[in-house]
Amino acid sequence: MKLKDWQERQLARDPQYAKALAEIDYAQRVADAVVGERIRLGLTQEELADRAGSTQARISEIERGVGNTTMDTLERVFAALLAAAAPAADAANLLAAITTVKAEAFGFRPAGSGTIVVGTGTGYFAAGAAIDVAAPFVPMDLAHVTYHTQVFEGSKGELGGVTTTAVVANTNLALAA
Amino acid sequence: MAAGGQGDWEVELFDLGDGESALDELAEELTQKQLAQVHRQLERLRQHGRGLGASYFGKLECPTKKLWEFRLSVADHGEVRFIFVQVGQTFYMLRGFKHQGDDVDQHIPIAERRLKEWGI
Repeated sequence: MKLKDWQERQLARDPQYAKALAEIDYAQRVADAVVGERIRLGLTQEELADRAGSTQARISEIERGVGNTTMDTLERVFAALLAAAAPAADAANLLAAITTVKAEAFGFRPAGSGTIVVGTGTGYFAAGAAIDVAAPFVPMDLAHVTYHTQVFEGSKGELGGVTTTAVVANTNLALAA
Repeated sequence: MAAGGQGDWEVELFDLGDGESALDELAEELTQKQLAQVHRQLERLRQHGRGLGASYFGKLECPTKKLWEFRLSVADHGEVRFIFVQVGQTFYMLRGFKHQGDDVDQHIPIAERRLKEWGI
């Protein structure tokens, strides 16, 4: 039986299973983002841990979507991935990597300008990633945590039909109360 | 082992009969949440294959010398192992179990028997 066939059958015969999948979805999407970007950059878990000032065991937990990872650790992991990506990225990738969204659409309010950079990269760090990182921590009463994004310079570009814009430096996000 | 590109891997679950698979067998030991976590990690294996990195895999000492284990973690400090054989870009999952202590050896004969039965 192929794995995708198992999923279809499980969802069909057990309605509760969809709820279980939904319950773990945020952590697993964060895991998808970290694993995908780490592999794309050719880093081992140990190398990523070193760059993030963390441990291989912690990276392993994040990549499996289990354990209790603090916002601070997650920020450092994503910052390490972004830092690793930037030098290798050619100009076109860099320009195409940045997506801006309106803060209000995702329940954030900008601490600085009205535009928020929610991620960089060539796919995994597109808009969803940073939002997904922040969102699961709302129930953890981190309403006043500031989320920092990476600083790049660039000009307008386009990727996959999404218009991208110049990178915004060190944007601070505060979760809306 | 071929590295393979993203998305061109496959995960096959051993069929126990009556529509049940090696994952259903494991499910009896897990909560719904843990099962969902196993499922998502297997999906990640299907997406990235060996590219996940060495920490996810372990070569097993066994008569056929073909078996590996895939290492997963689930909620409540649970550890799960899948014994598999890889042929080309396909991972054939022979036996899944909740890992407790030094218990892998007792699952290897089951996996070996299934490997023979599957005719891989």
